[in-house]
Amino acid sequence: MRGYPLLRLLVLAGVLLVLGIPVWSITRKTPTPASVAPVAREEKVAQFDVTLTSSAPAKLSLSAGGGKPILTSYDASGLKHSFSMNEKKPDDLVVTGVAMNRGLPLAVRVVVESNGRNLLDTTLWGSGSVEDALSIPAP
Amino acid sequence: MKFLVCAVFSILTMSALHAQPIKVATLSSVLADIARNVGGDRVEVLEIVKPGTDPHLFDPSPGDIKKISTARIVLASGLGFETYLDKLRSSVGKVEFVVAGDVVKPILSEAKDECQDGHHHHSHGDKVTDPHWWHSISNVELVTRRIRDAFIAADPEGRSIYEANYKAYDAKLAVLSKWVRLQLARLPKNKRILVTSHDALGYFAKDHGFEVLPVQGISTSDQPSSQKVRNLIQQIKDNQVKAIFAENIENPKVLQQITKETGAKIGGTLYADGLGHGVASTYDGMVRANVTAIVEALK
Repeated sequence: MRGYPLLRLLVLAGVLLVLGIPVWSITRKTPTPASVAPVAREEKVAQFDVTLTSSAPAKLSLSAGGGKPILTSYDASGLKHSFSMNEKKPDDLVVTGVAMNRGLPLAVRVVVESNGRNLLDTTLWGSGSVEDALSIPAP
Repeated sequence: MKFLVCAVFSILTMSALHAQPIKVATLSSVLADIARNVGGDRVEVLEIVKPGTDPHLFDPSPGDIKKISTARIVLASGLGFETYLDKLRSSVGKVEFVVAGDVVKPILSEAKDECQDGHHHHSHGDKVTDPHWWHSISNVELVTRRIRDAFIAADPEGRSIYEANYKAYDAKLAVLSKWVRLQLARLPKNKRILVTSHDALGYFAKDHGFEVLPVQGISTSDQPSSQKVRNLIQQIKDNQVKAIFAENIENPKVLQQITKETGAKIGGTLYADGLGHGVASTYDGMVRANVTAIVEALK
């Protein structure tokens, strides 16, 4: 062997190769297993029936789920609307009312039902206008 | 003539007495703010625990005890927040203690991992009483009423002033409460997850339907285990939480590490253990700063 540098080189290359394979297999960049995409949790929804009754003609509006407007009604003394939301964690409702005659006191009654079950019955009071966010309990 | 001199003397003495405000020592910056609002000029607030101080680690110095001894009333949070309270009571003699925790409805929080402050917390099995009552505005309303009553008892001549100040502050709290509701309505319920340095926002979470995932336990001295941090990272990923929050008196290093692994951003600084400086130097300002930070980061 001592007299064959070429052979020595080949042997050394072979040894390096044998050692290199496990090192490579450990350190190579493996594509991360497609992270289990957050399983779209099955969201159970329920229907909510909202009734707004105003003490005087007013511009009434209703929004939920991060400010998404649900309904706006002008010059009304009341309105009814049904919509769906997460059954376990229904979003807060924002109710606003602006009286046509802003000099008068205004009261807006808010009733929320689901499957005929009363979830909320409250009245907002104000002078010329009302606005509040209401939490709805899960049906 | 003698009668006239006596009358003038009595009037002067009475006015001098009126001019002397009652001294009120406070062990929480929130209580100091309430005391100033209800007491007005008739009280002198001795703020023992100042804004920006970590009350979980505070221990009164001999100088503080001397100062508290000069007060007529001490306002404390209770519920285990001031772990030195019993010791303090016996050290300051005849001072009336008004403890906020006596009038609020306490909630329980998950037990701490490992408390290193040597302090005890009121525990119930594997749960501990959450002492951060001021994160519920309705609790602050109850405590404000209790403070008004204590001031009236100590200084009956100021009754009408305390009652008027209380009424004005209570109305301010009602406005604040409505503002909070309207701001939070912008956040759908599935986004109401708060990852915070330590478990201080339980009352806020209960009032507004949030889930709190704290890094530490109920005290800033509770240290999270590496298993807890791993679980938390997984929960943040699972729930696709967009932001996590640091606190005004916390070292946010651990949070920064978590943001690296989860991709969530630091959502801002919350005032968890008391008031801060600038906009958060009043209770009203502190609540508005916290709610704004939460809504902006999570919406």
